[in-house]
Amino acid sequence: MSIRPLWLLVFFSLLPATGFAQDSSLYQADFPPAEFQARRAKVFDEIGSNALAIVQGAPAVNGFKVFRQSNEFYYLCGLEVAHAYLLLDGRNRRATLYLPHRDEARERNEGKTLAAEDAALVKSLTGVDAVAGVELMGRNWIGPLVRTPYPALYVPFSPAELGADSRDELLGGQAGITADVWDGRASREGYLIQLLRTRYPQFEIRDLSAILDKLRIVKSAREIDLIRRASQIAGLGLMEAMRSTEPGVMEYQLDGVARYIYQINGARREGYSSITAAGTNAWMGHYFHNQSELKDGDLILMDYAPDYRYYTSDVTRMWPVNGKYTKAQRELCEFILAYRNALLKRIKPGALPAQIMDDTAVEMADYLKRNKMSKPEYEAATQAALKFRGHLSHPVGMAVHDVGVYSNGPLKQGMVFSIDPMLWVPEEKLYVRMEDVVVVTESGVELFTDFLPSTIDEIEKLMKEEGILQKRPPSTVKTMAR
Amino acid sequence: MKKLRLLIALALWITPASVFAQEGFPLFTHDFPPDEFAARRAKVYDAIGENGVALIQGAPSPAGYTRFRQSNEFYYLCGIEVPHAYLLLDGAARRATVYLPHRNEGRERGEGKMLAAEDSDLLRQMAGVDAVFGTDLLNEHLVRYAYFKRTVYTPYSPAEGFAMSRDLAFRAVADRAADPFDGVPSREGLFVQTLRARFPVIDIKDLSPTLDQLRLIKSPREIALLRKATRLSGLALIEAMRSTQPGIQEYELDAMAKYVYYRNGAQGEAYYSLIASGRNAWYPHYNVGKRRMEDGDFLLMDFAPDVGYYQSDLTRMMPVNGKFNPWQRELYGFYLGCYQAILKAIRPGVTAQAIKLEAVKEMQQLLATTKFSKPIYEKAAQQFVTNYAASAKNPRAGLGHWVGMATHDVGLDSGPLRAGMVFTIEPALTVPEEKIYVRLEDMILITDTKAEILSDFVPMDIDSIERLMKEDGMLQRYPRDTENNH
Repeated sequence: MSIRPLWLLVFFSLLPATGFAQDSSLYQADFPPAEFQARRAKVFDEIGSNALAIVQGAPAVNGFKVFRQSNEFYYLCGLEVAHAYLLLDGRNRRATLYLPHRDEARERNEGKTLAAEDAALVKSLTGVDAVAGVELMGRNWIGPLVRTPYPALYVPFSPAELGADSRDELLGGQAGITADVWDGRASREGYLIQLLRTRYPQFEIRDLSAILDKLRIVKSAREIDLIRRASQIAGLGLMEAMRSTEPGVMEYQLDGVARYIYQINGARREGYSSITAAGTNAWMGHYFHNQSELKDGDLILMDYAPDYRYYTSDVTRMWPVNGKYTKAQRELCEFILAYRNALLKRIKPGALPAQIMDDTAVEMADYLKRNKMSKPEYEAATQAALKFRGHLSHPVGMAVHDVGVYSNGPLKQGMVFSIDPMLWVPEEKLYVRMEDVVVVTESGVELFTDFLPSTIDEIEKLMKEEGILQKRPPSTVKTMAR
Repeated sequence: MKKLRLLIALALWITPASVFAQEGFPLFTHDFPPDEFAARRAKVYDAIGENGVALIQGAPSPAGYTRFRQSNEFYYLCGIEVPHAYLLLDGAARRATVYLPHRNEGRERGEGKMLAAEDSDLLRQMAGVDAVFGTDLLNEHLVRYAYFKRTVYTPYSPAEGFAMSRDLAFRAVADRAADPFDGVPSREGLFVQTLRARFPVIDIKDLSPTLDQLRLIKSPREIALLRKATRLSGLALIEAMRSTQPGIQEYELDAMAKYVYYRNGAQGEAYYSLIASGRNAWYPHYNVGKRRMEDGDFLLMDFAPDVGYYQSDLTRMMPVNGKFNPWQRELYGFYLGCYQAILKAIRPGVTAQAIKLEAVKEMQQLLATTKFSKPIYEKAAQQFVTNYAASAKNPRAGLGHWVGMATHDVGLDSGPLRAGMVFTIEPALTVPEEKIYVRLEDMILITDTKAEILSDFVPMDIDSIERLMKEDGMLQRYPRDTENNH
């Protein structure tokens, strides 16, 4: 890390600021401006002709971290600049971006970023109608307040997702702060709303989150391409982890293997921290310590996916540490796989999620009649799984637990969600799950991870291959103290 | 006597680890024994005096699927890794009290056991603190200090978390302040405000300078962690030399380095990777990582892990095609001579200023004997030496920056170098006309007798780099997926 001594600062300040052209692109290449315009048009339709919507972009990162825009801001304009605001004016259906001004010293250090000075460029990249400095935002809101009726003002009430998070987790974090009577911070959204209320009491402030959630639940073709690629990379990571698994390996080393696969394939970050849980660690639903050594005879659960250009996935497999399933492991894992396949074949446009679960339970009850479990506790666990209603799981998109609801009506083309059949054997602290991400297509369903080994034979065969951990031990430092 | 103390320490040491062995993960750090934390707190008691009370706020719950990481200062004083914890140090009683949230069974069911206010005995044993209470009692206990008008010291500077240093943490506060609609105050600012509002009678002072000065001198156990972090950073740079070739993406080296870090148990990155090929190296903190490397590029790589709350900070440069071309050889060669002159001059008992002056003499000789192929290169070399000589005139300018729990670590000291100080040097040679930027960076530890370069196993001479680059690297053996490439 470089810290610039004062003399260097003086030296650089004498340099001309022009011509600092940089090789990397300043703007994403996954979505054309027309797609962002179409998304904004839907927001205009929803808020009506006497309303404004304001979306606050992510704040500057605190520390030596790469900036990541919030999901909702990126969704509406694709711009990756900190402390930016997007104003959507329903009265004239115009979109305005408010950006901080150019900071030359910072650009000298980190490279060019888009600023208020790049108005023409930003307009052409994002398709917005106007670009201004953030200081003009307050002034431009006075206009609508000169005449009645005042427009309504929509802002997202739910916490903005900033990568490797989801709304449920973010609200949980806020609950932690609230429970601490000495940590008086409100949420960033709460502060914005409070500022708006005190500065502009005339506005009726309404929640924009519900509107954006409804848009985000159905994915476009370009979004589906990105989730497909995120799922493929997640699958490749799990395959490499299977190859690398053997007794004596640490959980975090498999995490390292998968992360390597993600990043050489162009994912810059994780969709969430990996759950790499051997033995009874899997019993904890969100075990993330990854500090245990893998033991002969145990099953390992690995649930991990990258953040690939703002889109993620959610994939889980379980496999035996020694490469051979025991008879008991085999019967439970086969049941879960059969469950997944039974769910999968029923997914298509128009199908009702509740009906899919009912019909699958009937089919799987029949499976249990044909395949007797070897122990009464397994019999109880599999019977209980028939009644569990969470096998069709959460939406997946820009967040792993993505926003919006799909389960209360007929499935629509473009909905993306995870299917994760699971069961619990409390007597053995045993938790078995398999998870894949699917998209509802025009006529049926696409399983993004169809190449990823799922059957006992496929997994056992793959595990015979040598993995990165065996072939490339990159360090003579065997294990660290932690 | 000494032996007995050692035995007791050892016994305390083993008990908690074995009690919770069944959890599958450690509940408390193995890197420091309780008496090291107690010794650090004793220095705080000395600094704040009998009228003083120090109150340190731990890090909040992480937002999202991110692992919790305690703040540096809180970890430094007690090692407890629980969100929303408070540490109170009473300067008169010389007692340390920890306030923790109560047990949350729902969360433990999901994530595994977490230390809570209910684990009083265990916490006293592991962290060596004197008392443990629920956070709800902190208000009530502060009343006593308010009654006796004690001075409360609390850190005013931003707490450092994952990949954070104070300079950037202040910048983040400034960025928010510049945004007219971002009303989020700094956590420390709000804490001080809350304390003032609840107990206006208490005099509140800044604890940060006290903690900064303690953290400036590293203990042997801290040095062991810095050494491990440096070792991993260096192994990744060596592997980068093997893996680099035209056609690879900057981010692939980032992936490879993280594999080396995580495979060996690092808990994160010390900072974002600076992997800058071609003209990208012109930007000292270029962190985009999205360029395909080309034949003829000169590559800068600056990256290190966070190993058990301790960081490293190394930089190396290499030609992408494995062979230094004439201009790279000429400028890097000259720079390396100057750089080694600085390394050679560093030793205990001498100020940064004296070291710089000594190095400048050798740089000037080197300048006089080096032939440059272009006038602008000669000008750049002269400018480099002139600037370095000018920096030696400022008695407060250091050699680089401290490294410890933060990459740009805390502490102010411009006196003679003392044992236990750890820092990097990273002078930069620039040719603005061609946007060339040359920088190296090494980790230096001052011992009683010498300056030890912790990263000297990472080659920096041209021959060794070229030799390493001929070997096959990880990226060749485990290339990116070419099918279905988006």
